[in-house]
Amino acid sequence: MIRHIGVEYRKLSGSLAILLAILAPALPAIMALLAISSSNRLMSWPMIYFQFALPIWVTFLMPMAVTAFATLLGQVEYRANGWESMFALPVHKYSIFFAKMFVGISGAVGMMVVMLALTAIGAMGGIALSGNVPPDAFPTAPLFDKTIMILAASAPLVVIQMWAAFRFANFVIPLAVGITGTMVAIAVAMTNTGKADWFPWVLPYKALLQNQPSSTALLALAAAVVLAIAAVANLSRATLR
Amino acid sequence: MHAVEIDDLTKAMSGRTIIDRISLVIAQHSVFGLLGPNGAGKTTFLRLMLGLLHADRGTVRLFGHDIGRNRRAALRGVGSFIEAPALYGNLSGRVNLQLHATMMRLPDAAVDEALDIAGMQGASAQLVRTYSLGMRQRLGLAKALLGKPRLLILDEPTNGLDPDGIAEIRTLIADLPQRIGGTVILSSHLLSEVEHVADQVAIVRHGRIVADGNLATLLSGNRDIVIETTDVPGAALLLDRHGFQAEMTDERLIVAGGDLAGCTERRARINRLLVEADFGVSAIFARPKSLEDIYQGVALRTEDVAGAVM
Repeated sequence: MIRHIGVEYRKLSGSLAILLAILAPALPAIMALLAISSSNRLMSWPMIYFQFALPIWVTFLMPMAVTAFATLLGQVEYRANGWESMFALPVHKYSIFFAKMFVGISGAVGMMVVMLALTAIGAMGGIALSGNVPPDAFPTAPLFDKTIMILAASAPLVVIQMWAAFRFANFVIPLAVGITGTMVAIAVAMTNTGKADWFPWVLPYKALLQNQPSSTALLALAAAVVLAIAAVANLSRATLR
Repeated sequence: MHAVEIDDLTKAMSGRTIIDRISLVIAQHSVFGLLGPNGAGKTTFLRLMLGLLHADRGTVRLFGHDIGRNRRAALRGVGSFIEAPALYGNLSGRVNLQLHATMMRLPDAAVDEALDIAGMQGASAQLVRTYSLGMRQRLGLAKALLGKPRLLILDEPTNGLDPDGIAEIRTLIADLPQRIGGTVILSSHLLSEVEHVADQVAIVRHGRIVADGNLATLLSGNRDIVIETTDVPGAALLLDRHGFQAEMTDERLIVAGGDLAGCTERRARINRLLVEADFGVSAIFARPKSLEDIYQGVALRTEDVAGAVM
C-alpha cells in the first residue's frame, strides 16, 4: 500500500492537480489582503478566519477545489489508459484505490493547511498596507481545533467526489456532482435551514458554525469510512476505461 | 504446463456476443499470432485473458492459474500492451517505467534493461508528452517488457505508425522471444506483421476462432499453381472440364495446387492439357500460399456460411 501511495504522489508531479492545490487556497488569502488593506475597520484575527476566510472556504472554495482535484486525479488515469495498465498487474485492486483515496484526502488536507497559511500571509500584507493591527493574538489553538473538525466533516464529500471521479471516464459527471452539492450547501448556508444537516456538502459548514462540533465530525468520519469501503468495493468490480 | 489454456470463453456485450466459445491452448516459448479484421473481437479476447473483463462463461488459465479465481497469481510474470500505451504525459519516460516497476516490486535495473531492449534509453529523460507516436509505442513496449515477462501480450503494437515506425517495431518484436525467453501473443489485423514472427496463429472472425494451427503447416500444406496463357477464359473452361477449378485474376489463372508432391503432378498435368489443346503457355509455376491467402479464404468461407444461415 505504501508503495502505491508513493506511486500516486509521483504521478501528480507537474500535473494540473498540483497547480490547483496551490491556486485554490490562495484565493481567500488574496481576498483577505484586498479586504483588510481597503478597510478602515479594525479586524481581529478570529474575525479574519472565522467570519471571513473559513466561511468562504467551507461553503464554496473547498468543495469546488476538492471536486476539481478529485476529477483531475481520475482523469490522470483515464487520459493515460492507466486503470487497465494497473489492473493487468499482479496487485490487489483495492490497494490501488485506497492509495488514490489517500492521495485525494491528503490533497484536501493540504489545500486547507495551505489556505490557512496563505490567509495569514495575505492578512499580514493587508495589515501592513492599512496599518490596522489586530488587537488580539493569533488564535492558534481554536483555529487548530476548528480545522480538525472541518476536515473530518469534509471527509464524506471528499470520498464521494473521488468515487464519482474514478468511476466515470466522463469528467462532467464528477463536476456535476460537486457543483450540485456545493450549490445545495450554499443554499443551506443562505437560508439557515436545519433540514439538510446530514448532507455531505453541508457538514463542513455545520462544523464551522457549531461550538462543539465533535459529534458531527465523528459521524462524518464514520460515514466517510463506510463510503470509502463501499467505493473501493464498487470500483474494484467495475470496468474502468 | 501451457502458457495459456482457454476453455469455452464467451462474452456478450450490449446483447451481442463478442467472444463466442473460444477454446485455445498456447505453448510456452512460442510466438502466437492472433489475426482478424478490426472489430473481430481480438482486443476483447485479450482483455478477457488479462482479467480486465469478466467472462460470461468459460475459463482462462495463465500458467495453470485461473484468472477469474486467482487473478494475482495468474498475472505474475505477464506483461501487456493493450490497444494503446498507458503513459503519463507529465512524466518522463524513465519515471513512467519506474512507477510501473515500483508497483511490480522490480529494481531500477529492470527499467534500464527494458529501455535498452526498446531502444529508448537516449530519450528516457524527456517528458512523454514530447514523444512522437513511435516513441510512445516503443516506451509502451518497454513498459510491457519490464521484468522480462514469461508471457507478453501485445495488442496492435504498430497501430497508427508510419511505415518506418512499423518496420522498427516489427524488428523489435521479432527479437523479443529470444531476448526475454518467454511466450509472446501478438494480435494484429496486419497479416504481414504476424506472418514474420509467429509460430502458431489463430484467425478470429465474429468472435470465433475460424482457423488455427502451426503457421508452417498452414502455409506448407497449401500451394497455388499460377498459369499465364494467351487465352485465359478458354484455358479456364478447358481446365474446368477436366476437374480443375481455375480462378481468373488479371491476366492469370490460379488453380489450387495442394501439397508439395501433389502440386508438381497437377502442374505437369495442367501443362500437358493446355499444350495439347494448343494454348500458348508462357509461364506455369507453383506459388506457396501466404497467410494473406489463407486469411482471405477463411474470410470468404465464413461469409458464405453466414449468408447461408441468413
